[in-house]
Amino acid sequence: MSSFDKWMQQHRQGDKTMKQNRQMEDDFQAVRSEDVRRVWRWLFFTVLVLVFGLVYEIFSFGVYSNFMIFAFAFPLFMGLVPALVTCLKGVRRREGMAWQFWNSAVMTFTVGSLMQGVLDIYGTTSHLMIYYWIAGIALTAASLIARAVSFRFPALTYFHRNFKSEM
Amino acid sequence: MKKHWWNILYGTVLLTFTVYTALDTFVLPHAYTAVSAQSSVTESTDTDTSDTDTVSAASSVETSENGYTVTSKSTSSASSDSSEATDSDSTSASSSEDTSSSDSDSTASADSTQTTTSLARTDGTVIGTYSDDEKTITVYEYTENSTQIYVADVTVTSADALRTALANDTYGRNITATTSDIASDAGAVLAINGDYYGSQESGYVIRNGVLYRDTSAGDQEDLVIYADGSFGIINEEDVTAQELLDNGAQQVLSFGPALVENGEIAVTTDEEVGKAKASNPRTAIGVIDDLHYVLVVADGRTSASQGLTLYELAEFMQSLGVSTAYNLDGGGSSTMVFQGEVINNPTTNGRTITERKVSDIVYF
Repeated sequence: MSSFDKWMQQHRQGDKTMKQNRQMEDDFQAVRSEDVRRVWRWLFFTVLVLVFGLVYEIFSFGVYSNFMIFAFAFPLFMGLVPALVTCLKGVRRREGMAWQFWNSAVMTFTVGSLMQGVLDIYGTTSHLMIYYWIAGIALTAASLIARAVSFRFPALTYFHRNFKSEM
Repeated sequence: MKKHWWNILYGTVLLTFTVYTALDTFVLPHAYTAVSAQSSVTESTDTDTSDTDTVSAASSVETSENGYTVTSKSTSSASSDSSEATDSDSTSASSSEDTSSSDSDSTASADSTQTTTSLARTDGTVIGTYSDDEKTITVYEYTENSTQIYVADVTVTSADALRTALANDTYGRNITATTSDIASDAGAVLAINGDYYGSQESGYVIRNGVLYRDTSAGDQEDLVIYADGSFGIINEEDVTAQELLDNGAQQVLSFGPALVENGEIAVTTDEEVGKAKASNPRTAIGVIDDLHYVLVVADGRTSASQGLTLYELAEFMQSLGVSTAYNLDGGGSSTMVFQGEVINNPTTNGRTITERKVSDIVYF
């Protein structure tokens, strides 16, 4: 191999490395952007639930329900705070069923809390309310299990399936 | 899209379940059957009869023997030997010897000496009167705490005159009708809304001597109206519905709290009943003396009438001279009907005056 060929090979390898680095940087930026968007989404949802609860209380003639007032705590502590930590610390977020279960659990708890607040303020009860809490706890447990499985078998996660070739 | 299949699927399930829960709670009617039924007239075959004095005394003894406490019993005796307690022929057999058992043939007798005690305060405006052989009703209007309060002063000759009725004559959830419609169906002269039992899934329901629901709501104060017309306040943690029935309970209203017991205010200024220390429309029932009752409805949520807190309501009831008073379902449910006319201004939102449909009424 002539020196020119060696130079060309090194150039191509360097170019390939640069492309890989650029691709990884793009991927990282994409993930970071998604993290930031996730923070904004949870912030919006938290504020939405907070405002809904406060407005509902304003028009409930002094009848109050802690479930209505504090419903925002679920998206705040189970959604916004983890998303903020992920974003600020740069923790590589893993997409997949674990997060989807987790998000579903937050939604279930939040809707269940708002629904319980509506019933409390109306002054009624429903035997069906228990299923919100059962489903929420089950989804939280499923999320934790799925998360543990994803660490043990990372190839199963959505993130790795989609970005494995570039990683 | 593929990435979000779970969110879409679960979101749909969650939305569907929430809609169903809302419909099941607020809209879909469910008719239930009574736990046990007794007819005060046709089924009572017990041989041990008693006069009203015995009823009250026996009830007191019974409560201690059964290990639970009746926190108050408003009347101790009635000058009547015909206003009797009624009891079922079989379910109360074991307790009939020490409870207020009955003589069915004399249920409707009206030999009682009508109580003549008047209201303790006379500053109300009379807006209606009614009188027949069985009852005398005078309806007053008061203004207190920037609130219009309607008071029906009722004296009856027989405890049987105080009755309750269910919407559409059916026990169940989301089976409702306006107070005026239920009153019309029942032939009531005077009626107020009851405890809206249909909005709850627990809490004792005994109406006209029939046990409809025996599921305890836990630490829940109930008003018990005995066959002799006396009032008692019990806690569902202390006594079962069947025991109340065996002791001669004709009506058990499960809302609360008790406002006045033994003539003393039983609520505090920050009493909330889970929710209700704010000024709101209120409905309450009280007993002044033997066979002498007051039904009270306060308007609220409007510029013309602010509404009462529970403590204000208790103060007002006490000022009327009641020995026992109990808070019933309020808010948009608060309605008083006198001779077919709604005499107060029921409102849910303060903007429109509209009767709310309720599960039950108390009437004369």
